[in-house]
Amino acid sequence: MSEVTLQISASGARIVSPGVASGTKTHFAAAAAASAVVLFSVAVEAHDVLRPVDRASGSAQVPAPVSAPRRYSQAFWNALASLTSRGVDGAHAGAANELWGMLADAHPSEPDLLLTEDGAVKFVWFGDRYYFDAAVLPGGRYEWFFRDDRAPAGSSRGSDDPESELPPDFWECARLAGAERAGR
Amino acid sequence: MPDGDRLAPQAVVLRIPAVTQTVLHVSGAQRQPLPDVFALSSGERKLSEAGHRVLVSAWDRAKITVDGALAQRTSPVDVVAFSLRVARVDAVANELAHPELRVVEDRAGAPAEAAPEVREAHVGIGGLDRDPEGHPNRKRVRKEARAALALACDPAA
Repeated sequence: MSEVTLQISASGARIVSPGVASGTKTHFAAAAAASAVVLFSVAVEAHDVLRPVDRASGSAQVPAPVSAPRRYSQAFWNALASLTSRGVDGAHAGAANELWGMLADAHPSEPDLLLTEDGAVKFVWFGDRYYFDAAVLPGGRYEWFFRDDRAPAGSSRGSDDPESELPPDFWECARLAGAERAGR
Repeated sequence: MPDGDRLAPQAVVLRIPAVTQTVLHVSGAQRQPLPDVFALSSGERKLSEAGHRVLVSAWDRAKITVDGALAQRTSPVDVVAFSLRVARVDAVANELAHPELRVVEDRAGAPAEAAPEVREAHVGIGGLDRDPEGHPNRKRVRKEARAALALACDPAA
């Protein structure tokens, strides 16, 4: 998998460097923090998605991979690309794509994609054992819910209120649910 | 039985959910999307947010046909009915230690224009807007109850 870094600012986007070293990423991330420039790294061959670079460390926060890199169906990409045509505003659609980019780093199985009555974009994994949904609300905050059929009742995990940051628990649940059918 | 009385465990209720989500993509690699069968309607949500206890609308299968229940919906979109035995609701309520989760007679909650025999068939499911302690603001706990009930449902024939 090759990787490039994009620098996105009010004046546009440009490729900073293909195969940029992590130290260089950190340098640009620090500059971004001071100048409202946003950096993304692009995993070109594996996912064709963007994932944000953490401004402090220069690296992206991702769950551990659950399987080999995989391709997702064209229908899924089309659905993801159709958000703005379905009334989702650009920033919100961007936030949904950003979340998918982070989730996709773990190579999960392909999720369902839904739009809720509240306007949230929701990724859903519903396997024989695990149910997991991750929703991006208008405004960019998150809601999520995880249920394990084999766990005692009352042991579900998830958000009670919209969250600005996704907790470690979220990534653990994403890894479990995404791995359930990832081998197919 | 008057409003508020619990239905017997062997009774079957029909639930016709509000359509609260649009499916953009279904992955063929997993189960069909879990329908949010017990999502509160916007009116029910407003009531709950105003501090009122909400009974989610349902129908006593012994007193109304599936078509009769479907006919009460004014929504222009296609709707589907689900059936659920009251004993399953009681089991979920026990598992979650959720005493407010129960099916009760609710003629008063029937659509205003409903005929008397239709009104007679209307029931309500309580506790779906509250956690077991009666608080309305623990969304995860409410979702868990809704998910458990949705998994216990079958499409109504």
